[in-house]
Amino acid sequence: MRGAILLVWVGLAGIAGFALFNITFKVEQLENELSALNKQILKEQNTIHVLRAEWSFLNRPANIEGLARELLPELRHPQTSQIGGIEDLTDTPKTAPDGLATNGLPISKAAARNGQ
Amino acid sequence: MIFSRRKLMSKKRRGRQRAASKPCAAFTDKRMEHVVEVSHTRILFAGAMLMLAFGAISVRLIDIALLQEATEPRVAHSTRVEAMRMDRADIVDRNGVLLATNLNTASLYANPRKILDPNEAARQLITALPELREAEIQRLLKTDRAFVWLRRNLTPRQQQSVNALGIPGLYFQSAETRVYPNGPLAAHILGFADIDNRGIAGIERSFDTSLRENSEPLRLTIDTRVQHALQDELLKAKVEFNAIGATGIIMDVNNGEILAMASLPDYDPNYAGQALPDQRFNRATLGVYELGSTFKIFTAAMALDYGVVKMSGGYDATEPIRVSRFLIRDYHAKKRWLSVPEIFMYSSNIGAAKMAQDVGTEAQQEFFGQLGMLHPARVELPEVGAPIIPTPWRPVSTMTISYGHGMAVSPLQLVSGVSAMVNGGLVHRATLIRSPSTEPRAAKRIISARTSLEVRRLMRLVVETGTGKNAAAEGYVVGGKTGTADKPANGGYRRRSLISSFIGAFPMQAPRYVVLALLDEPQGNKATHGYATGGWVAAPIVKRVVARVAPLLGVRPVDETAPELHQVLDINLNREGRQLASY
Repeated sequence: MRGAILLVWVGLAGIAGFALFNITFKVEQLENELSALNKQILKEQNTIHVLRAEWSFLNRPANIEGLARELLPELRHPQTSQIGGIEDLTDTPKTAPDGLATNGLPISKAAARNGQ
Repeated sequence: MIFSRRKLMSKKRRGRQRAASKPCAAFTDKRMEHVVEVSHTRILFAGAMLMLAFGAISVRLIDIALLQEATEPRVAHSTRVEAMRMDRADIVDRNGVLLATNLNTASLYANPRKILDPNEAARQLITALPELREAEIQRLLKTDRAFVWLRRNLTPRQQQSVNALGIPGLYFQSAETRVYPNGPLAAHILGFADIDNRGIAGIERSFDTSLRENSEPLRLTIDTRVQHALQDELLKAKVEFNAIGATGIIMDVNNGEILAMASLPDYDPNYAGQALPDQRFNRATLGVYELGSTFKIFTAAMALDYGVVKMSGGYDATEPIRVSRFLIRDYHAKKRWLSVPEIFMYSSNIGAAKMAQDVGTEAQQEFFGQLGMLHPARVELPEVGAPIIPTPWRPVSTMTISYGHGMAVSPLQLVSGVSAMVNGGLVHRATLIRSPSTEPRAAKRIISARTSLEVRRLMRLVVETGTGKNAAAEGYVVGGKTGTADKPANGGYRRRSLISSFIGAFPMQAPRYVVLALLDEPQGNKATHGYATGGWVAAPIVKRVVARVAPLLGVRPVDETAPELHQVLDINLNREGRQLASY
């Protein structure tokens, strides 16, 4: 009887030891993976950092202006008449949602004209 | 253990032998009991020792398996990696565009003692790095030292080609280098850092410690797009009028934030070592100039606010004023009585001088003091020039200062001052650092809101009908004042060396930005009929800059003939009941 109990205890201790080591090795393996991933993240961060600098370099206004001059020779600075708000858009429906006849005018102007 | 068992066996054997030879039962039982007792104790002792040993092993097992090892690198165990840390934090513009950053680069060095054939190594090296000189490399590689720099900050491609040569004795050292992706854009604001990443000039110098200690980017008030527009237009004008220099500033009048500040000639901070002193000189903050008639804005504001004259009042500008050796006369002489708006519009020195005379020296000093013009400008740059003020401040100084002579201030001080004149009368401290807080910045009142409105009307008048017509950017209701001053030399003035400027604000019905353009020694050309005055050379810069930047800044063009604008910006002149149309 005593021998059996001892055997059980030894067995349990063996299983516990095995489980503990198994977990340890798995954790170690996962930690190595995590370490590799973290290294990769740092590397990617560095790459992103360099790319941000490059993006800023390529997007410097003088460069864009030079490219526009070369590739879009007809492009000019906008005239004051070309600048307006969304309500100034002429591409409005002939009839506003509330039935107001716009005749192609912006809704606000058409409303003002109709005294609304 | 084995030894004690043997001992036990031998004792047992001896006991049995003794029992056999002496058949005394009582004695034998006692002896046996003793032996069992001893054995029991020994087994217990051995068991305890074993348990201790296993206990120690278990503790260590738990320690290794479950508890974290402190000496191992943190990054390997952490579930999240920390952000990359550079030696210096980035500098970004108000929209987050990168202006300065640190990049890892490799630098090439050699250990000449390990170079087998210096001549051959030098010959090969210049195939990969053609900008190096073969003779110089040979000389370096033949020295008896163990370390010589060959080339700092290689590009990855250069590094690869040097590596491919496979020359023994050549090594790379990785180091961080400060890079300015936008090149000369805002160079005077950013300044630069040296090879050891120490800030030497500009923001890099003023914020050296915090840039080293923080990892968060430093956000400036600069807008890269606006800065480029200003720099571009200034450069065009500098070339067109063959000026020796130019400067310009755009400031938000409602909080003192500088959106753009340029000084020409400029330099590329990536190659700051190659820049000439004139290129590194920041004309906007370090340079102090007698700025001429733009000072009439302050004279008019002062006189109107102190109540020495009203908008309807005026002065006789028929004859020039002679004070000691000075002769104060008008450039655009009308030779008659001029109302305050006319004095402003025609830029009458005589009228301004008389206005300042009425205000008085003390009040003028106090006014400029409150405006911060008697001390170096307070801005986050180390390159700030001290204004030159007259000592003693005689009455004649009061008169000449009224039209911008006899006192030299930096262009930044002028811009800050004019911002206070048009924004309703509040002086804001000029700043280059974008505050994360949305709270309004501290400001102190210098003139009343009513006087500010009158100044705006006067400035609008100049652009509408006066000397600043060339600054009228259609739809943006620009107002401003021209300034043309002779440059001082040898105790007098040089006639043909001018500082020509124009300071404008827009939109005048509710000003948001002040724009200054200044040219140093411009030369008139055919297009300007030979004139190099502020109205001819600097006002057009402001016009083009406003037209370019207003859409970027969300200022919408308006119909300048609208009655609402007339109502706000009209000036009523009492001279013979005539009304001067201006808005």
